[in-house]
Amino acid sequence: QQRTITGKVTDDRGEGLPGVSIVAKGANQGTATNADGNYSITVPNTATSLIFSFVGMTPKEITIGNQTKIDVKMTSEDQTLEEVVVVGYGTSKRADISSSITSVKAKDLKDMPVAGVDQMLQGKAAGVTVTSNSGQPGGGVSIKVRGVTSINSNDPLFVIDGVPFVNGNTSDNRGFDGLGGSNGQTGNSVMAMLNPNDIESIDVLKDASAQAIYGSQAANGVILITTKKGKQGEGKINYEMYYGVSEVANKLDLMDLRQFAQYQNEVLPIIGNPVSDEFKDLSVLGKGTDWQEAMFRHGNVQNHQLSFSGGKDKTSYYLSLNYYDNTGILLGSDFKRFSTRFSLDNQLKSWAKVGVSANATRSIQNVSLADAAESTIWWGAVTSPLTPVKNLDGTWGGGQMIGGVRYSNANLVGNSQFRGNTKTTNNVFGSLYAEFQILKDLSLRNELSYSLGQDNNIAFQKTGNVGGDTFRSKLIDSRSDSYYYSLTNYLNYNKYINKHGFQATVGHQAQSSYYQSISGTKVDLQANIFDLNTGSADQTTWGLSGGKGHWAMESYFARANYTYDDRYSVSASFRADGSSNFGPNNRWGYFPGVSVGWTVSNEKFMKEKLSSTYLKVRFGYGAVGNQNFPGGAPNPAYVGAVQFFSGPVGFGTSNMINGIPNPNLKWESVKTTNAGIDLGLFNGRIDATIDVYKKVTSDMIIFLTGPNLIGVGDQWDDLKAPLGNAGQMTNTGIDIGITSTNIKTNDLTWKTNLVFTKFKNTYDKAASAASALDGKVYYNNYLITHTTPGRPVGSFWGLVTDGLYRTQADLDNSLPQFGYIVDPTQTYLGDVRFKDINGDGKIDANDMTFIGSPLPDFTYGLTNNVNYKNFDFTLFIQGSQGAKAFNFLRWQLEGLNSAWSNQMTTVLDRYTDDNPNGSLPRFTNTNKNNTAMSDRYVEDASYLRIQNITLGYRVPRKVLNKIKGANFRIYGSIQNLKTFTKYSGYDPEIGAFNNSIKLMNVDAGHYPNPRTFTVGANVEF
Amino acid sequence: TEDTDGRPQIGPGNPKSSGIKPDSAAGGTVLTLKGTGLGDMRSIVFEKNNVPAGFQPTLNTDEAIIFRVPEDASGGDQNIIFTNSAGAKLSVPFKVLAFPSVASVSNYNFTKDSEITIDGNNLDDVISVTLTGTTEQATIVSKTKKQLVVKMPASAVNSATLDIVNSTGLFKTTQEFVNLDKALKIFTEGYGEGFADGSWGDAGAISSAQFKSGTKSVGKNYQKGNWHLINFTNWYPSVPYSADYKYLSVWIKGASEDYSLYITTDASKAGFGNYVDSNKLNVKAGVWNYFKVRLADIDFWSAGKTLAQVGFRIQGPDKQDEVFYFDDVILVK
Amino acid sequence: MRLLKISALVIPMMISASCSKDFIERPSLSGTTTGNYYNNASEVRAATSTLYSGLPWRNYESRAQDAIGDVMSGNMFTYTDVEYLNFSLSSASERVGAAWGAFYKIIGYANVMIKTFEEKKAAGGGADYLDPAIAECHFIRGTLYFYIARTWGDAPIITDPGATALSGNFNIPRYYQKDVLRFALEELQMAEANLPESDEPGRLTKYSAKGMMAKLYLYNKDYANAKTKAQEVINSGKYSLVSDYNGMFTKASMNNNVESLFSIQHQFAVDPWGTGNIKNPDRGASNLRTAEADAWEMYMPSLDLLNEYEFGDLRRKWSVMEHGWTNPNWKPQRANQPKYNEFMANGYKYDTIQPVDDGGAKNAVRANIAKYFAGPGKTYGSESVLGQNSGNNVVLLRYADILLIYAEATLAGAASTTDASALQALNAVRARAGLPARTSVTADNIFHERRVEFAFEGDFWYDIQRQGYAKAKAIIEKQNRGSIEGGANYITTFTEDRMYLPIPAGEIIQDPELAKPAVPYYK
Repeated sequence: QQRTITGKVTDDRGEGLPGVSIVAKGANQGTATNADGNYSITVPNTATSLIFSFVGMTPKEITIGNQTKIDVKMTSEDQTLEEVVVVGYGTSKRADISSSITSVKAKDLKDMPVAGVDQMLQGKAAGVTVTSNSGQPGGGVSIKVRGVTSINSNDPLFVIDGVPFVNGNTSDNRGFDGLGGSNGQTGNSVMAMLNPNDIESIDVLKDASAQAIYGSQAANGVILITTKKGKQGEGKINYEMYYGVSEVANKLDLMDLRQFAQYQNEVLPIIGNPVSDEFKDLSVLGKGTDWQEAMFRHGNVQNHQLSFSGGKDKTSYYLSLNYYDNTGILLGSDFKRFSTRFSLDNQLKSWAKVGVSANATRSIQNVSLADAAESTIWWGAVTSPLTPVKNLDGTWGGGQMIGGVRYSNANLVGNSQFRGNTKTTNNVFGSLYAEFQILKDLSLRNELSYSLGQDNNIAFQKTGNVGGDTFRSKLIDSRSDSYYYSLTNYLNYNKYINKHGFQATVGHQAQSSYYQSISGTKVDLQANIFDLNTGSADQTTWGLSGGKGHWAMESYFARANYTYDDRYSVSASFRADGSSNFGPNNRWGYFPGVSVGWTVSNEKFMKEKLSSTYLKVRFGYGAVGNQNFPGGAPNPAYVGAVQFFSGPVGFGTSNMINGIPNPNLKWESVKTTNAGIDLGLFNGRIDATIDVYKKVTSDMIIFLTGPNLIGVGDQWDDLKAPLGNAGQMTNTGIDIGITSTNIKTNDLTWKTNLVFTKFKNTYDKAASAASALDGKVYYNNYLITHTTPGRPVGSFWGLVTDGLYRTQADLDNSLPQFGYIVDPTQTYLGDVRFKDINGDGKIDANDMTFIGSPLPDFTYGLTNNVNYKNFDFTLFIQGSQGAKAFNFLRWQLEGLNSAWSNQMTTVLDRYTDDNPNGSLPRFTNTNKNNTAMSDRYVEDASYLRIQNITLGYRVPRKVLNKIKGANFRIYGSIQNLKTFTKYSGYDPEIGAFNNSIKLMNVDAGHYPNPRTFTVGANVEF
Repeated sequence: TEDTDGRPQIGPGNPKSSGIKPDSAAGGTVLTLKGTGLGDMRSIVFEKNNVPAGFQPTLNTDEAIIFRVPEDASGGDQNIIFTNSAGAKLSVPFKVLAFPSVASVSNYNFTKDSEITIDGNNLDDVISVTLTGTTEQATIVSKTKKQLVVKMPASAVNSATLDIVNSTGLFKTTQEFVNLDKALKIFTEGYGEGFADGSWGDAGAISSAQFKSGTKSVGKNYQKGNWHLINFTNWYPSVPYSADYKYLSVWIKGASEDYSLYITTDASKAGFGNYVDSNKLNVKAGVWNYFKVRLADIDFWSAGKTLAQVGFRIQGPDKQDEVFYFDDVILVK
Repeated sequence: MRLLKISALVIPMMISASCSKDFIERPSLSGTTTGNYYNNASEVRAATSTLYSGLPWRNYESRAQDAIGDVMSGNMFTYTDVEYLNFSLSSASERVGAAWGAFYKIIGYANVMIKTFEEKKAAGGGADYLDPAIAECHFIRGTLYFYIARTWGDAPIITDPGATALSGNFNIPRYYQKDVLRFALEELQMAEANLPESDEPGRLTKYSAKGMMAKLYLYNKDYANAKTKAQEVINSGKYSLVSDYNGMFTKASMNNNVESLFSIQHQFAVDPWGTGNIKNPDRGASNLRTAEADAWEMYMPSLDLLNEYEFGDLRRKWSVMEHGWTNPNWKPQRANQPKYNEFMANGYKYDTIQPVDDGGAKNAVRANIAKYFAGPGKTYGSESVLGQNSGNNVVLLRYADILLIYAEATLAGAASTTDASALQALNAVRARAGLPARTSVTADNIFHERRVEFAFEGDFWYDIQRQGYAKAKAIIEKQNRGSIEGGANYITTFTEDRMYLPIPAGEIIQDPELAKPAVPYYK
């Protein structure tokens, strides 16, 4: 009772497709096309249809009927409106969606040689703003979904195959402060642990009606990541690799030795120091040491991915192995990752299905200190070109004594040989699920998700001599462990009756997490062996500290969807969350959401008149909450806690009252209203999705700090201010995504994708009329951001410059600036003049005002894809417009207050008696006002960047057939080719210092994004 | 481009000189050598005694190198040898100026044939040491770069500086040397004529164990709390007033701590035994202190009075007995 | 089949539901709260112990104390805090904010402890251990407001930070200096009433409060009370001048010695930051830097101060390193520096003739500060130092101060006095310094004595300030604040507003009331 069916499978260009998987549905029979695309399959008479599947193509199911010859044409998976999107606790046809969701497919992500998933989203998803906090390999990334939502954390919730990562996007990399100096930029990307090659799709839930099902954790948006799984059919082997070289994209124009000598000859007499005779004849001087050249180098990157996938009968599987290695462009920075992923799905019974997935990752990151005084970049900028890298006797340069003056001891090249900071991270995460089809329309799903993390951070210093500095060996070894689990059970009900569609979900979730850490410090390591056991036996030199914490949440959730005739859809959701972060009276928060959709183009009048057009209108409203506390908050925050110290304090054993409790602390609230349209023109040649929204955050959880004089703060050694609910913030914006198929012929396809994100953020209300959000850097008194009601969060706050004092008349008419009188050591010719903002006849703190916002007016991404026969070409441009940056490095490099530090060449155009029209103020080491926080250092950080150019070539099938290959593609790519900007620093993409929204776009020696050239290949068997 | 560590990328060449400026200088002076092929120098040596000169590699280009004359370079005409990383050498003629200089001397008093040790620099080629304004030369006993020992001549001068001449030139000391033979001796190797001990409390005792000049000094124990003084008395014949004496000079070896001693005389306006601020001498602990005090600046000798008592009085000492030693107590014209 | 289906649904729900009441209750893992702690003397005293520590004090004691107390007074020369040397500092100047922040931070600690301990008492806790602890807090608060009044003049007063923070009202005014001083005095009086007669070394006693009161009375020119309180300290017989003056500042073994009435407590330890004394490197001569000890001579003795020492004053060599200064026990060595190592092999020598790279010292004033520099490290024969950390306490009030206060209070503004007890007090200080006794004493004598006795201890600026503007100006304009090679530097622009520091700019932004005229604290 069998018959044989033959046929040919072709692609959209009519070419035969070898290796297409063909399965008879309901029977245990399968085959694949041969090199020409022809197939022959023998099936029993009971078989009703054939399923054709091929990677990257849309699977097809063809009813057999009476045919004995079935020819099939397969198409690429690119029909947006037919796609399936991932929603919380399920999937849905995009056509049925009434809330705001953006999807990015795997093929849009390939050829982007980045370490982290989060970086892949930059410029690819409307409403999602991605900024690199650091160009450091493995460095941190700021992600905002529709603006700034909260004071404490703006990290969206990442859910990977159902596993939530609730601890945010940033992990710490500390230890430099134990070696001298400060920690600088310590944030790293948590997503660096996930291998991007394993990703199938990324869906972004942007508005509350979509997010509500996740409740409190979704306040900052939800990013759903689906990883690749096995498919039915013949097994596949994939190998992908790429190799790249990186370089710094931009350098500063610092003085060389001749210019530095000229500068010294001019300014040393001002401070009463003799000029060095070595500098008297400028003509014999060379360039000296180029410390930028010393600190930057060519980096390289390589990636190797091997995966196995397939399916047979009721089981499908996926296994991948990945190795990623990235050497940074800055001395002392690199990143390695090893990861593996496994998933298995099995249809146990016709009504029961089980699955398991597991990911294991190990990453090793060596960090170069950045974004801080004492950092490599800081020193590379200020070190004198007179200082040699190495002395004639081979010792490290630094601390030179020239003409009676000792120059800086710092030697960043030498230091990099003696100091380092290494972070090793191990993660295992995954999930187990069981799904039961209880009734035809009712199913039950049980999920257990888990994550185990282990971090080891080692900061070390070897014994040695660099310049005038003698290093004592030291080891700071910090380890931490964490686990998380989530137990979720929910029922799904789907019912379709004629034109009516009804879907419902009801569920319960319990989550818990725990972490612990310990850190040890030792000095005088024997033979420089970095092991705590080799350290000094003198216990007074030991350090030991640790900590631990936990958290739990229980939730109930429900959702209902109704659709009618592919024209009308409505969705409602509700979630109740109870968190251990809040006191007994305020433990539970309640979060409803609702959305409606109307597919206008399915109405009769539209079908008759504009049959080639698709139009859908969406509206949504939802509420979500936020339970995230600021860093350093006592846990829990509603009772007064006692803090103990890891070492001796006061008379030895001491404690302190850790904070002021607030039993009334409650959930932070985020309410979003969204309206959008989906538009298709010319039979889908142009697709557009446009959303407008308003998001209001209130009852924000903040430390109720104010001026220092109150005596409370938010630092580790402060009496902690009480946590309170205060203030309100609003984001309004518009997201636009447009895809255009410009040309589509057999040989040539050209598609353009544009994403546009614009949002406006306003800090509406503060804790009180006089309170505000303040950001400080470098030392506690240098306040640079101060957000008052009505301003965007993280607003720069300072004096407004009004040119320089250039004439005696200017001085005669001058106002007292911070109490200064007219005197060469105080206010004098060549000094900066500030505006009297409050009109009281003097310049002081009351004249500080808003001088710029770090948030852009809009960001955009433009992608062009061209396929011509076997070639493919991609050009991706992204940019940001309107954001301001505080160039703290320039505060140093144009400070004109130290005779011995190197400066930008711009200082040669400073005011002097001979140069009264100079663009910069005079040199002075007594007038502190010239370096006060002012718009002098606030710059336009707008930029347009050619983010990616890729050219690929697919080997023809004739060649492939000879090697038994199914697919073979090679490509070349350039990342960050060119950045167009007026910003004077290394990189206008600065991000947030340690992911703090109070310190966005503050450049304190920021590690720039590198330019990378890559070649790669993909092979499939 | 290749990565470098920031050093100037200048390789060694075939070094040639187009001149060195200045072409003669003293130690510590900055020199500039110009020419071609001067890159990547590794050593600079002043030929005489092979004295190396350090320099900064950042001050070295293909056309120039900037460095300083070593402080310990030997004086005179010589070559400076430059060697680059490829081993190529360049010799450039140069003259190191090395005037003698004097930092310290072992004594300020002299008599015929007494020896004085002079510490300073560039003393190894000293040709002559002469009392300024005279033709009387000291005899050079020994000389090294840093030290010169001379035997003083007989002389009729009251005091004089020394003219020291070496191959570079002449140096006149700022230190002035007193001719003991022309001074009124209160105590040198014993009490001067007519002088004796009249100390309060413990008597002055001549010591052969402690001295600055000769072989003897006089020591005095100042008892705790008694505000005593050492007294050099000359009741008969006493010293008649003479306006010719301009200075009191004395070496005092300090006690266990810093103390002030007050000069007091019976010919002073204040009278004997009194404390006058202008008569204060600050004596540092444990070392020989030299004092040469202008009589016009202190209350020492009123016109017309005879001098019968010269004392050095202390306030205290408060903690314990203290011993001071006195040598070459003289009046100088 | 159906039974299995139902079981699959019900069992997880039962598991979840059974723990819902307790599941989200997650108390602090240390389990210690103000509710269940502070129930005995050791727990309470461990809290007040923190008030004495470098942990909260460090932003004042490191650098701000120097810049304000000594650089501004003309005792220190510096290339770093030039604006304090020249009186061109502004409200954005670094040490202004650091000192302000430190003072009010510690006051916050004291405030919350007073509140907590009073609540404990009300709930039945033992007054015998709570009252002395509360008194310690009052002393700290009083002392800090005394500093604040002298540093900024008119200033805000906060006693309940929690209520203020929770209220959100940060419109806190400045109060008149005389009211801030009165508040400080009242705090010290409460401390005097409840502190013990004696306690473990370093902890506050009645006499610490009396001593600080004497200092405050003297500042207020209340000579009778200043004399009375100083007399009470003297008559207690508990304090005396230690003979090892330099050791007070450089030997951890001398912490809390018989001269100390109040000191910031330090131990030699690496963690947490502030446990160790981090004054060392700012004072140490560069040629004392080793693998174990930092030394970058941010602060140096001023030429004017070097000129102030009387001949024979032993405090000079106990406080200052200059040519000829030696310490045979210190034998610093450095990698790859043979000439340096040879020069130092037989003990540290401060030599201004030796080349700098070979161990010489040749800075702007040819001298360095010896106080609070513990040495090049244990390996090299000194006290233990670990980078910046040493174990030395920072002394804020000591017996020498009481003696000089007594003498000055006895003088009581007169031109001079021969009062026997005043002379005895003054001459005790001088005797330790190896100086002869005075037979009469003038205000200038005491002023001089205070300058050289407390040099580099952050106090002399307040001595200048309390002379009043006219005299302070005369004193300052006479001082040479320059360096040897840079030449003399005389201030000609000292104005009356420079008598007090400006309020930090960041504070005014957050509390605009601070920019307005002061108001009374007491009605």
